[in-house]
Amino acid sequence: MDISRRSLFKTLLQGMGAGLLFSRRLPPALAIGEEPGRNESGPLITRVTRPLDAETPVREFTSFLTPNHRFFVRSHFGPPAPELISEAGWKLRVNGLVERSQEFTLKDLKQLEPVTITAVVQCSGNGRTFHRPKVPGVQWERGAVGNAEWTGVRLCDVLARAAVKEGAQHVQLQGADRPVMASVPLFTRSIPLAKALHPDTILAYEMNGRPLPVLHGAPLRAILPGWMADSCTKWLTEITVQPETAKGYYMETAYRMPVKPVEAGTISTGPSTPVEAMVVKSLIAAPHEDETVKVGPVTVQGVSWSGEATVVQVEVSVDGGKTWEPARLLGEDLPYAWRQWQWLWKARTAGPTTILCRAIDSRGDTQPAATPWNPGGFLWNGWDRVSVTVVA
Amino acid sequence: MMDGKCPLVALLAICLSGVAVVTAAQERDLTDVNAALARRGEGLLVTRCAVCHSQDLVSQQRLPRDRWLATIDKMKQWGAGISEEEADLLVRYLSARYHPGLPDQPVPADSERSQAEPLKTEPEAEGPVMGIANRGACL
Ligand code: HEC
Repeated sequence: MDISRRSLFKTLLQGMGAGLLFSRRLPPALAIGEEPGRNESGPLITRVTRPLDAETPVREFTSFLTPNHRFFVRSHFGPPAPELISEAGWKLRVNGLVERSQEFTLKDLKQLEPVTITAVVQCSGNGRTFHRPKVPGVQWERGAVGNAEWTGVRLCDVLARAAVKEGAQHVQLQGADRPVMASVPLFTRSIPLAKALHPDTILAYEMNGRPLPVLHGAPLRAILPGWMADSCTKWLTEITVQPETAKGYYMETAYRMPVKPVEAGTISTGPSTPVEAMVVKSLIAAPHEDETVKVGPVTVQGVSWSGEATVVQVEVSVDGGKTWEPARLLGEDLPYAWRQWQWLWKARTAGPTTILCRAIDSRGDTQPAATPWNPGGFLWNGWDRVSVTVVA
Repeated sequence: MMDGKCPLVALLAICLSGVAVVTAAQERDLTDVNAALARRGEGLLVTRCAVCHSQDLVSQQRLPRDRWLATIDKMKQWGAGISEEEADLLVRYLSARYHPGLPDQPVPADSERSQAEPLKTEPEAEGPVMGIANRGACL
């Protein structure tokens, strides 16, 4: 199959069983079936207009790769001023506990060995709206996640140029995005040195074979495969090697999980730790919510992933979780990508039915019915559910 | 904004364009409505809060009073230019309008221009407020 990227993305736009076109290089996705109105709702569901927070309609997850224009967008402050991220104006500074502080242009970075990794990127708050009691923050439903092919350079190669000094423990990542008022804390994050030096941690300048779009962090975004997206700094301009974790609101207060479970609804003051790896999760991409299906065979399909483990099984229930049937895992098992799955449901009885799914990973972690409540509303991975109506 | 009309009329107008039916319980609720609070609240959301982010970030929350209080406090620390009195008014307005009992619903993108909804002046407790479950369907 010889299809240019351009026509391929055009096809994605048209929503025509896009995943099949990737079959030369990637695990096959399934045909989508009749889905009138697939394009009616627009490419993304806006949660916050300004700065933009928007999620992908879950029905898009019938394709293995999430196209760039349908990939969820999370902004703390929105894209930086154009001159800060233009090819001419942008630089990456590497400093702190290094022998040779230095600056890289995009051209400099592209001299280093390029690597491509297919990885799920997911907002820590994906599914926040399902926590009870309600937690303040962007009320994401199911689609603040996507699977893309990221191309860039290894962070360890960049750090090797600068030569990390003794005593280094953490790597601070700072983007060029700025709040409207200087009194708002910057979105400053840091990651442990071990994760920074992991050969799969990259600084990406391409997304699905295209230059990284501005909304996704152009020209350079950190990608930490297996970790939640709060560590995947967009519009990256400064890397500071440090003896300690970064200071500030977004490390010390936000994006943290209590170490011990807390009582639902309480403001915990106990020890907490930064949100890091993703937890085991699966989603139902088809049929979609409120769809009407006919008695007879119905293809139920979706995606599943786990941060630093492999999904070994996905199960589906149509009796409210009393009994579970194993789904078929499709394609290859790539370490950080999601895995598509499919289950053939023989729908017998007309009426409303709820389809549930849950994934189990290689560590034995199973998606729970509901995720334990936490004050930030992070890491939701409760059973996914879709309500359909079966008609004769 | 309410443009000075009687809130009952406004609510009926909104409901007539949709499918919701005003129940007796809802009608009783409406006697609690304080249109002046809604007008000032909506005004503050535009002039003081929309400086940094759109109002849909506010209207999608479903929070009890203490969480609204904490949120407004945080916004103030971060630079929201509101007086004590305005902060207090906003806490009252937001905890009456966007309380945990209000059903989830997708926030339409044009919610910045949406009409103010009649209120209960004070939510009794932090739990769901009963008797107004259908209210959201009017919007
Ligand atoms: C100086 C800028 C600024 C002003 C003014 C401001 N906010 Fe915010 N607000 C923020 C930032 C920054 C966030 C967090 C955004 C993020 O992390 O995505 C936020 C988040 C929120 C949230 C989501 C919950 C949370 O804690 O993250 C709510 C609700 C909110 N603001 C309400 C308000 C209200 C009501 C006002 C008006 C009194 C207001 N804000 C004024 C900057 C501001």
